[in-house]
Amino acid sequence: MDASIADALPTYIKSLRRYAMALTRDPMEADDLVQECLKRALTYIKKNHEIRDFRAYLFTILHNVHMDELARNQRSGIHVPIEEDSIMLYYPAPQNTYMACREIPRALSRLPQEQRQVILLVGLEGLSYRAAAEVLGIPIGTVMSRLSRGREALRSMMAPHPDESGDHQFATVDDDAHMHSQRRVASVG
Amino acid sequence: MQSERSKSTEQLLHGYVDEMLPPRERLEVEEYLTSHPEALERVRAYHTQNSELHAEYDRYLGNELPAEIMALGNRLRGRVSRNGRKSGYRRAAACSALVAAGLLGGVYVASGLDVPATGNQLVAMLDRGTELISRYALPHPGEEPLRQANVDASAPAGGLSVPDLAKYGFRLVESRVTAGRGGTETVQLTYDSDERGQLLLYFTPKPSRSGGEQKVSLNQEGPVSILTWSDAERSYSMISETLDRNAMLTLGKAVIGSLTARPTGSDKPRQDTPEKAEPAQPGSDGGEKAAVARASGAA
Repeated sequence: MDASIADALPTYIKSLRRYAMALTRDPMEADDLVQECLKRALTYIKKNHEIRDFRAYLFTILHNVHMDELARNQRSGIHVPIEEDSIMLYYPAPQNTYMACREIPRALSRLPQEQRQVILLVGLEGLSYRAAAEVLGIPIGTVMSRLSRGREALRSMMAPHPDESGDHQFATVDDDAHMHSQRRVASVG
Repeated sequence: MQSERSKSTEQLLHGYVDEMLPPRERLEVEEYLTSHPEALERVRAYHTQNSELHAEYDRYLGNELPAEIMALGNRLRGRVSRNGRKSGYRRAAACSALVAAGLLGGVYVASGLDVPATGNQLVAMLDRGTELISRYALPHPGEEPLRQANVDASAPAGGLSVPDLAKYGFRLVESRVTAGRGGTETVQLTYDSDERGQLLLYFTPKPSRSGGEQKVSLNQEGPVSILTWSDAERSYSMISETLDRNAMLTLGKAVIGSLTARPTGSDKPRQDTPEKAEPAQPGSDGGEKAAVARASGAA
């Protein structure tokens, strides 16, 4: 690590926050994720081990924090916010039954979590496929297949459909429940 | 697409969207898209997705960070800076040690010293050798490597082979022949190994006053190991920052063996004989004198 990382750190943190926002769609939850991520980073960096890609390292920690959070929610039950414009039914649904959704945040939220993560890391944060694989702790081939399936699903959701009749259809489950509970040790470095 | 052999069309299309393809594959994809409208439509859709993601979420990059996150970020920044300074100090210290040892090696050989330096002697030698820094210890950017320049490293010492340490994982990366104090010519050979770091070897003709006895000594100055020896004709110094005592002695023996095995015919090719070396560069035919003149000029 060197001074250039310290200089770039504020940018990295803003980037983390953007990713967390896109992932959770909840500013408070996003900030909690980033805070916990930075706390853990402070703990890990005491060990003074060599870190190859500091930005990817932070994303890895954030990913772990998020996975822990999802696992905790799964144990305690998911709290569903009731909003006038988005009533979401939380039950498993076939993967291909997506509602038409022109807005990227809503379309994204209807993707399986693992696809959403890959699309955000690559498409929004500009991580290489290899770096995304390291952050998520999965093979690069899995990154590619999730990216491919996720983008196709988004394309399908965002395309205009002839029988489109508004927002009355059910959303597919946000399949957090299907998320792997595997936890990747923050060891990108 | 030709690249389909190694990457699927799917991978290439996504790589194209994410700008992760080398130029050749990028061109292949563009050519492919001209005749595959369905793929072009997909690529456009993926581009649109990326653009919309940025349009939606980039505003968070411009927002002020909340105070709690800012405070944690500042702590982390301080931690990273301190670690960076520590590793910077360590790197600087290691470089200084190597340069100092290189200088010492130059001083050893240029002065024809037979004894290794202790810590105090090292300081004294560094003082004495200040003028030699530019001649011996510092690299000369742009100086041609031995193989390209076809420099005959045996030039100042008369018929010595360049030690080939490839068997030990070291490759020769640089050579310099310089005119030292009193016209003494010193050869500096720099070897490098991916696993074992850099190795410096100096040798120079020995002043006649030094006598002809053999002396070998291995010294440790911090992380730097310095092996020195001399024979009837020359003084030698071998310096490494990473090798341990046994490795230094093994390599020292190999160097001595190589230096004393004087090739007499084509059955024992020297490392940089024309058979193995690159074609001679213009102006390099002058052998010893040209090499020395070139090196002296660079110095």
